[in-house]
Amino acid sequence: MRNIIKLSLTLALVGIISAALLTAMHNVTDPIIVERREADYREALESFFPGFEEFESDELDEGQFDLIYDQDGELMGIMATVIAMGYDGEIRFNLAVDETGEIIGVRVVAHTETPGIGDVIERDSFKEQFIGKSHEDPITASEDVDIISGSTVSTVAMINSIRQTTEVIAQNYLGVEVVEVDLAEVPDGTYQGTAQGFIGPIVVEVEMAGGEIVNIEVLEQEETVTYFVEAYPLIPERIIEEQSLDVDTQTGATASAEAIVNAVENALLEALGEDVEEPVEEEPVEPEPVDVDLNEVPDGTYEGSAEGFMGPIVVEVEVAGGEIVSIEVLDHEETPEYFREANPLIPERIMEEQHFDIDTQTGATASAEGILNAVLNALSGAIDNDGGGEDN
Amino acid sequence: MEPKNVYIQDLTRGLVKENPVFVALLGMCPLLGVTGFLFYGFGMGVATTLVMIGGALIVSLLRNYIPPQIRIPCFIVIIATFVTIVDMSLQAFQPALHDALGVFVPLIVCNCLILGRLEAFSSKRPVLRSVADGVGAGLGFTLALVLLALVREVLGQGTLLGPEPEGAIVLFGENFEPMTLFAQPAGAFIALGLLLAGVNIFMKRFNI
Repeated sequence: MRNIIKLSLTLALVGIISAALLTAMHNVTDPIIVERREADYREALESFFPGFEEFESDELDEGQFDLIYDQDGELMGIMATVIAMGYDGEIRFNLAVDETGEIIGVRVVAHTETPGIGDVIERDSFKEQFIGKSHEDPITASEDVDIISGSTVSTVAMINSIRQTTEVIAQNYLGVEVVEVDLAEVPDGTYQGTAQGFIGPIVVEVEMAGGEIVNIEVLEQEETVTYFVEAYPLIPERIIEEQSLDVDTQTGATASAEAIVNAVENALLEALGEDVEEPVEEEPVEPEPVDVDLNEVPDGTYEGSAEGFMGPIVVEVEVAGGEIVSIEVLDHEETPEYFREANPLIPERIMEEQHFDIDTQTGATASAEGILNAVLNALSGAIDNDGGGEDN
Repeated sequence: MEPKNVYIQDLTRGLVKENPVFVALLGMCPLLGVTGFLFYGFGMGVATTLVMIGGALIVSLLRNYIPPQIRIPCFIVIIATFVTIVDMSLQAFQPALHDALGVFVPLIVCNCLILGRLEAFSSKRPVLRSVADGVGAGLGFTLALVLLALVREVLGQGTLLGPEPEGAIVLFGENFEPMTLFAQPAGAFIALGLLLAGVNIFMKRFNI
């Protein structure tokens, strides 16, 4: 017991002496560190805003924004300190923007990108391409600025962050009005909108009904799947739940999440801008095809598909003289042991009965119904196509 | 008393014959991590040497007061103290180096080279011999870092004394395409392997 106390006390003593030493050291070095950081920052400010007099700091969610003033107290521009998520961690950088919103310069403060690959973001040739651009420019990879191949993630992260920062600055400090979407004013219908995601454009389809967003679907995107799942369907769900575009986009894929929000916003803005815009034609998706009158089906061979147990089942149906003469399964993804129970039994039953009210209770009912629905789809398609032909 | 040349022996042992990197293969993590540029490698070496000397001094001074049961935690606290002092000093006086070395500075704490020397040597020897040994081991480590960084910077960047473009000496003409592989971790392993092979041949040849 005595021994343990002695040991503890010795260790505690060592710790206390260590702490005291470090505190003393901290007091010596900390002012120097802070001063040095400030000097570096001032030097950068001087290079972007020659002859500036003072600056005023403002903190937003997006980062720190310093408003730079000259001797007469006139706003010279804004220096933003923001963080972009690069390939290997945070890229902290400064973005200097003049009083009209045009980019004066980009300065990478700290990053942990791979040496020789991701550190190209520090290259002047990369940074200088942003100069002169503003919130009115797309600032989009491969559109008006270039990524550096081999360092796509690092450079795209910078580009996206710079675009967002110019927008934040324009809206918060330069009095650029944000176009707010009033959901109540959007007429019912389905609208499409596009916005730049992390890698490529994201196309969404927004369905409006009674002044509310009822459905958001992503039609096209090129994002990395493992990241995109963090944003979709979460973000559409949040938008629909809150009936607002001002949702939290902090996810594992913030860039994709923000792009979805922007795409929805664009879709609705376009809807408001042109009230007469025709809603996008709805794709006819009939889950349960209606019964088909075989006498209406012209002779011929038709293809149709329907969902089986594991995936789509594609069939080819041959009709002659108002009768089905052959049914062949062209493609399926079912488990062979089970599918055997449904094919060729179901095609045989259909041909025998010459109607579709057949018994699908087999060892593979889901596959059996898949075949039946595929045949129905093939024949209903045949009738629709034929009808269209007559109209012409 | 100890004969005089015992100090010389303690000092030189770590340089070649018992070089912590080339012979004992200790401290691989910072060795591979920060040797992209000569400046970084050298800076890391000096930082580690300072911690090594400080640790050796204090541990040797306290060797009769630290109970053996808690010697390891005590050593680690002592090492950590010196590492933090070095870290803060770098931040204040060599910010560029500090940013470049990044997490590897705090990680000096767990460099087994330091704890190994303190445990095996300083905790049982008088102060002067311990410090001599600390200097030797530290310089040996620095030597290895400098050699590896030299190979990697020349091949991987084509410069010397980088990475600042203004200060760096560009060794080759404009058409030189650096072997980026050597700037990356895989290149560090390859360069280290070649270096180890070279040192082994050298030591065999001269019977060290």
